[in-house]
Amino acid sequence: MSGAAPTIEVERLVAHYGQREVLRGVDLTVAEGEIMVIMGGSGSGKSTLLNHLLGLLRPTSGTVRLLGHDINRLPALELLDLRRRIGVAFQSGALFSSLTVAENIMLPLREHTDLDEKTMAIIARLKLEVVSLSGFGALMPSELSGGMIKRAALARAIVMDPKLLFCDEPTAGLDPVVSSSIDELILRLRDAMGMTTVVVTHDLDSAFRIADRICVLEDGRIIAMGGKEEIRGSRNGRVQNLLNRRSEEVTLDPEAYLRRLIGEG
Amino acid sequence: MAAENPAVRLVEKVGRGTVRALDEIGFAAVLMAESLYWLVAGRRKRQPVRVAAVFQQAREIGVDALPILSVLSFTIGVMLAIQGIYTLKAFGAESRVATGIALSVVREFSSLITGVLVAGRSGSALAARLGTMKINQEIDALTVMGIEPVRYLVAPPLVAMVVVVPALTMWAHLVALFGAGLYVTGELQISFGAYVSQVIEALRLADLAHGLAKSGIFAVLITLVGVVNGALVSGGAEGVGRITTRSVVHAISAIVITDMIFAFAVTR
Repeated sequence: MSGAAPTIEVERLVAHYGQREVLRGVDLTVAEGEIMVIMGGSGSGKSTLLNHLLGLLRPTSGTVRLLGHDINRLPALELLDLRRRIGVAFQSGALFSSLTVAENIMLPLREHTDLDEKTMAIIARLKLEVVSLSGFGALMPSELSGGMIKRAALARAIVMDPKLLFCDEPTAGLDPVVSSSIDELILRLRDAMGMTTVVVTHDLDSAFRIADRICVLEDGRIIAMGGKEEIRGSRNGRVQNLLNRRSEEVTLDPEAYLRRLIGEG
Repeated sequence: MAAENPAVRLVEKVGRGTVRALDEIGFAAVLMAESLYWLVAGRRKRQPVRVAAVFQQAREIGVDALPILSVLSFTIGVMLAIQGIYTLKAFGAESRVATGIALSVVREFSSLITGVLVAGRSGSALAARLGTMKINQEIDALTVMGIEPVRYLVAPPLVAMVVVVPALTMWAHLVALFGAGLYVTGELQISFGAYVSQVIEALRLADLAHGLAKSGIFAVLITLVGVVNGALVSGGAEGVGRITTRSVVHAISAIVITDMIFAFAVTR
């Protein structure tokens, strides 16, 4: 790691949904050019953490600094400017269903740059080429398969050549061949453009293929963080459960169980 | 904690409903203020409200509504003529029917029928579109791209509505008066020219302004009801269906009630 300031700095992040505490003091730093994978089971808080990193939710306390700016203190207009340097590929793709694939990819260019139509079309085709979707620009998102939507979303995320890329479950629900091609893509983007990348996933194979470091989240806390080997060698039982796909062993309290069943729990 | 006493429960329900309604009205006011802000300051802040988007909305709200609006206003005009002649026959005054028709159409019926039609066609479409976008994370996607959602999604339809709904109302005036004229000239054996001059004689500029001002207010109401409902959607595809219905019902209620208040305040 270089001595430069980290691209992402999260300090003591605490967040609630209503009364329920979802993040219980998360500390996380991601260095420039690093690929950080955030792993965790369902309900571990990883999606909430991602939404906080994106500035879509406001934390109860703690700070999130992206590219050196505290996103919860930044004036609205500067935040809009900061967001031009950040790309996000959502889990569902979140492509605009009323626009073609190419128009989707061109939207950030159209809104943020003064490029002429022809240049934008070339850039869009270039990015489609990068994600191996050349020739699909004229289709509507509803005409694409799941894997193609994810790749198109990735193309849109990188169209402004961001310094920082977030991917939410880029390989979830895809067949192994397509998911490994998306992993390759994320690695290539980092190598070619030096992007700092944060990937949220529960796909183990994918996580270990692309990660420089892995952070394992459980019940709103980080329970392990480190390189692939460190995570593999972790002594933490819950980390091992996640790695070996074992279900959590829950000790059953028969009385509490009965009370739950009759609705008094 | 749900109270056991039905009376207390009722009070609690009314209270929650009131809070929610105030919440939504406040949200609508914020969206309105933000839209105006981006309209005025957007270009300087590199978040311009696109003219192309306004035109596209104007076409969907306005031009595409013309055929059905023409049919409805024509029908309303004929209906008013039939009822007008029937009513005035009681006093033997059916020759004055053009005055009644002209005032009813221009002050009341055109703006009302246009408002109801646009609420049903475009207000609901707006709510459904925003609701679907919210559920598909498309609004989040706009936000993280650095595209301000209010300026991109709310300001264009707001401008388009405020321009197009009064224009549609003007068109409805013409078609309704034409339809009424066809019936009146046939029934009362007068020339169309005589009917037209009676209509023009009956109308003052204030009557026209009354109808158009109302339709401008309706335009704002329809847009805000649509976007507030769309933005507050929850519960997947079923939720989108629910808020679409809700936005039509709310918009039409708002139109009818505002109509009455406006007429009360201005006419007396």
